[in-house]
Amino acid sequence: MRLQIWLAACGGVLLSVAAQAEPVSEPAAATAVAVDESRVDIHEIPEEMPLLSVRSNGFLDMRWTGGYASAAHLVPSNDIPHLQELTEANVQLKLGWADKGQALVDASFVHQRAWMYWGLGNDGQRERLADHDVATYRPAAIVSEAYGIYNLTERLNLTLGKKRVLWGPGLAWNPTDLLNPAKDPTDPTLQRAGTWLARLEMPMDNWSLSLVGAAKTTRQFSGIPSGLVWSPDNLPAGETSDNRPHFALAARLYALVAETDVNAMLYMTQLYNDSFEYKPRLGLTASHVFWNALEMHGEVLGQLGSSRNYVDGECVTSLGKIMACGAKSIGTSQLSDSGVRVKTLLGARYQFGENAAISAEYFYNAEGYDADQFGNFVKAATYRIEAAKLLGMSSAAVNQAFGSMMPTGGDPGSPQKFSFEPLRRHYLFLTYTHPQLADDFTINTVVILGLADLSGQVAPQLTWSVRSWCNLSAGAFITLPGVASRGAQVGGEGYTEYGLQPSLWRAFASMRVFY
Amino acid sequence: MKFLAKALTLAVGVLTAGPALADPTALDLMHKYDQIMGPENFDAVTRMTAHRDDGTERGYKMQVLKKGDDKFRITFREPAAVVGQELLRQGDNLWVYMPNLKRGVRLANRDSFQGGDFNNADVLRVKYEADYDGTSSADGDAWVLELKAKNSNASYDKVKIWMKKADMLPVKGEYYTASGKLLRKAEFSDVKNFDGIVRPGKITMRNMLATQRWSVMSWESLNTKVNPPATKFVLDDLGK
Repeated sequence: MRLQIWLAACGGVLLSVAAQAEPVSEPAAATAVAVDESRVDIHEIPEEMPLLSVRSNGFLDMRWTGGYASAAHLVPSNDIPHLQELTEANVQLKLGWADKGQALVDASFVHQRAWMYWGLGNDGQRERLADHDVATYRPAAIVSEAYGIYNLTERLNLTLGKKRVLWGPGLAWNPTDLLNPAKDPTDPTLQRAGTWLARLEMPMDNWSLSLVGAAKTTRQFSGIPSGLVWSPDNLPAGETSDNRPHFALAARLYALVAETDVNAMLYMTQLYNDSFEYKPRLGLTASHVFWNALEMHGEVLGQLGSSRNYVDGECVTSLGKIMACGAKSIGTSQLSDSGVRVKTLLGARYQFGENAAISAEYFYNAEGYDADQFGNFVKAATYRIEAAKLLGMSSAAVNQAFGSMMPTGGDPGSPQKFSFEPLRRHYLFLTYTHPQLADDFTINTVVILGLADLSGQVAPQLTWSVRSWCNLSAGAFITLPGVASRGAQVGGEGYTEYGLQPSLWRAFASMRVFY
Repeated sequence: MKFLAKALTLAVGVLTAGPALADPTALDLMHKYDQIMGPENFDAVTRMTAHRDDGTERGYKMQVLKKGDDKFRITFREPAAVVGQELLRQGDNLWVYMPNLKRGVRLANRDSFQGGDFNNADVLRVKYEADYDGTSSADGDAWVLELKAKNSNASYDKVKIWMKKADMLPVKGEYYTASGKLLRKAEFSDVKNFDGIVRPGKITMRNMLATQRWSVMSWESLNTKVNPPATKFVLDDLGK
């Protein structure tokens, strides 16, 4: 019922505004004649202009990665390969239907292989594990986008299909983006995947109104969904449907005000990419260029409660206690909390001469752990390892027995080099890019720093544009262990956020050929 | 008899010459330049070739759409690595759309255009009347237009343009910093008739800070008989 009211309200507003705008968009030919009889409006299709146009392009990307993962860290290294190969064949097909509409498909076929896994043996020593199947490294077909846009009028269009709709100006991260698979802050161009949606959009000269209904993919095979919104009827043995809808609704108003891009967003999500049910959230973004060189932007997302998993401090006082608590030791205890949480991203990008640019963005993650909550998280992780050893349990069995430590996310989208899953509250993203260095080289360095304990990641990359159709890249991901004394103190040891991760470094080389 | 003939010739000359034409003002020259180089509305296909220090070159093909004084949209068609990339200017606002980012990002006017020797404003902001104050003078068979930026969105602090007296077409330009340092030199050549508009079809921009580099912008087609819809120049239309 609430959904119907929401849809009716939003649809009514859009259609009534579009109707008001309609007199402006009289038949295109008449408008053109009124402006200047000697001119031909672009909407009057000259006979020689093709009614249908087809364009295609894409790339072939090959990436080889090697790295080192420690088995002694709190997060197990068992499923982290030390060698990995990825080949992605991408095709982008764009069909134009004069001024009536268009269709676009952006699909990739990804072949991956991974080798050399290491873990902790029963004797507490690092040992080589047999190569095994890990879901993340399976070959996959990924339909990043597949949509059609139909222009109902000059000022109103309808989009149906899978599309990445992104409104926030954040470069490394977008706290106001609740619809799409998360992007990789070290290379935001890698994430091209969107979500299945229907969108009504009304673009005016200096403002736009968008209404979006997005469906969560509950199940898919080879990039093709077999379940949207609800789980499919026929599930494999062992899987059960929750018989509940999974979707998101969004209304967004964009305005160009005093040379500033301003977006106001209203979301309502139902078990979409988190555990919130019929949860309203408000977003606000702005972006402006100062002194013709400094771009500043901000994103704010306000909500009540948190969908994050929190560890019950009472359950992590001893091994016996966590075993007694079982799955109750961790859960979404603040889901119905009435406390206001405001996720904020504030950033600036400065352009130097020669097109070099530096950007700095501060991200406040209002759902992140404070020092005590992070301490409980680390204690739970420590006891879970002990319990697993004691009982000889696999990590899947541990999750079943003690609850999942990390939130269950949505569609991961395209394969990413790095996943940003913030546990704490304060982060800094620093990016330096210098393109056309000696004409054909681009240097790019990204630093992700957790400000609570100064742990993070450094990701330098060098790209050589050998030809206009071929790029060679080499880069690395280096974990910054941070300052242990600023981390959680558990059992006489200091644990930092990125110090929990087993991967100490990774280096990669890649070749991308465009066509 | 000779005296009579001279007197008659002089009298006829004076009578037929009429009042002497006044020299064009800087505003007249700016207006003419803007009319020729940035017609009110157009849909053009252009190529930019950037020649680099090492003797190699990079080429781009793009579709340029202009509406009124301050609406520009450029869509890159070649090479494959930048296909689908777009630039949009609306008033003093400039955005770049990256197909892999799936959204527009704000840009500054003075950034280099695709790493070549033009900057974004050279291509997307052809309206000297709006951005410069000027003075005019004569230099042989050309008028010289000297411009000084009157706002921060102008692409250069000082500009000098030579326009032929005969047809008022630009022939060369010089672009300076506020301190008078020469940054770029332009040559306007290859005059063509684009469906009734006679204008240079090629601009060669030389980088005076790195003299081995230069870029050439040439127009393959220029259709001024269009009136693109305003919806083509809004941020949300990028990528479509």
